[in-house]
Amino acid sequence: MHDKILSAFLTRQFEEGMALARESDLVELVPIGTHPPQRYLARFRCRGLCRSDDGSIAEMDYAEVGICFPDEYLRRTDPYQILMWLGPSNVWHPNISDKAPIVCLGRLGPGTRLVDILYQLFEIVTYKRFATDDALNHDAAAWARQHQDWFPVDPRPLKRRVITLRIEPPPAEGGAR
Amino acid sequence: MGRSLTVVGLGNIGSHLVPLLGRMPEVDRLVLVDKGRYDRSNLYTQSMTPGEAGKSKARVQGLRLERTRPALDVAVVGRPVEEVPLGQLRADVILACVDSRAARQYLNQAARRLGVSLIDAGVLSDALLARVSVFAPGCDHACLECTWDQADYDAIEQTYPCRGDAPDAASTGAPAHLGALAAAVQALECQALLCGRTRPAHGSFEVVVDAASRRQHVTRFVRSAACRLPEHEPWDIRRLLDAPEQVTARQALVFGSPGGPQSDARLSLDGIPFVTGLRCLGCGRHVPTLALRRSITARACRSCGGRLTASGADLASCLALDTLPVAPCGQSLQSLGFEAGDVFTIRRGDRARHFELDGGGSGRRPPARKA
Repeated sequence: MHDKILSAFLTRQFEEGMALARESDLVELVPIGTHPPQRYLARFRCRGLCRSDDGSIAEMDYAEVGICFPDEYLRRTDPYQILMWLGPSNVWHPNISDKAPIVCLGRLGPGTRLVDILYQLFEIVTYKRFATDDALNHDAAAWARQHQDWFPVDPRPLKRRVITLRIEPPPAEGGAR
Repeated sequence: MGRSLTVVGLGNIGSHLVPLLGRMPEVDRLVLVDKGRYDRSNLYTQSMTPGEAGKSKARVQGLRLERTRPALDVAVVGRPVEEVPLGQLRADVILACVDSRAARQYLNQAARRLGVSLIDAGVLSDALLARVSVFAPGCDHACLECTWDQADYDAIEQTYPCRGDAPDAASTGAPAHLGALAAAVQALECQALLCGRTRPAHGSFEVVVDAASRRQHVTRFVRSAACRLPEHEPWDIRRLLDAPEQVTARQALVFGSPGGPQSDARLSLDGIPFVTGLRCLGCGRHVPTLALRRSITARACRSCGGRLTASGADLASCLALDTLPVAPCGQSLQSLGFEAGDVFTIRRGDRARHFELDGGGSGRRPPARKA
């Protein structure tokens, strides 16, 4: 790659993204193409919502999103080119179209880091965040306004919490047998 | 020899700038670009009259120039600058008077590609500041983006898939006299360039007139090693004698790879992707298509009236012979959305060649409407 600044950025995104994926039980990140990768497949293993064949709203337990960093990514962003919803296609969310592979995160500025995109996608999928007015799925937006007590659908954090446990030996008892 | 200028943005600054440029004897050609129309709310901030409300800004200013100096060659372009073919923007100097940060960024890139100077102007009405930045061409000189930081990039207007089209940049609402002040300084700097008092070797700089304290500040810009615009050097553009309707996609790919295999050649237009299909957000209907995104006008689904949009799966930054269906190979570039003055790129591996389609640039008349 000729553009050294973009190349350095992409390398940093790869390192940070893979580090996050290692420390998470809920996201898997698959780089695609030559190093430094410009494309990723993000697989979320968290709970979200989908619409069943009978029209009822049910929980889903996976989501896949394609992430692409075009050559111009540090200068201008086109959300249509950067994010592609890969499934499930019957997803039920105001920010995700159920008719086209489009997901809307809101503002996505030039040079937004990969880990920030992953966190934002996670918040969208788990309904920690959703659009109530401007929506890609208006039916889901109307439904979400009336069911706010359901959210978030998955309260777990994306990054595994590290709990440091220190196990001390029991106090020695004199004359213990 | 007469000089040519391109003015983009005909609002608070541009509407005052055009008559000043039109009166410069060394200028014999002006290209005026603005997609907007004047309305009555512009009466107190821009150079327009009540009778001009509702009319195209570019056309109004073009007609005024025709009355002021009938011999002047004026072309008007009433569309977003990002959609104007690069060859149509070609001039000795490009003058930017735009509110939109995305448009300023695009003009900076266009000036670099063409190897011409860019004079960018802006105002800050609350502080009574008028700013004029002169960016010299060449890889050693700072460009607009050399002066930008992350906050500038974050402020670029953006399209939201949830909302549809990108919002227009907010008007500055600056008083007419502040816009006229910036226009006067911009015209002075333009004439200095045309007369050779300022040379590209002088580098890039900015003049800020602080009208509140009656002071002027000059800042020199240096080329940033961290600039996000990778190419500062001008493109070597080969100008074709063929119009877009005379060149097929296959022929275009052959131009860039004479004598060699064309299977790995890629055809692209800077910054504008190809749309390979449109999908309705209302009913999910998929409409196969192949054209530059700029030329896609049908945005409503025929079946349900829903919004048609191209998702990431339907966008391609370039076309290649090995991925093109057979039919588009024989299609003319015009049918794919190319226009006169477009500069297309044929890339093979790391090598890129640039070709301009006939109809744009100085010396030949662009197909823009005559005022």
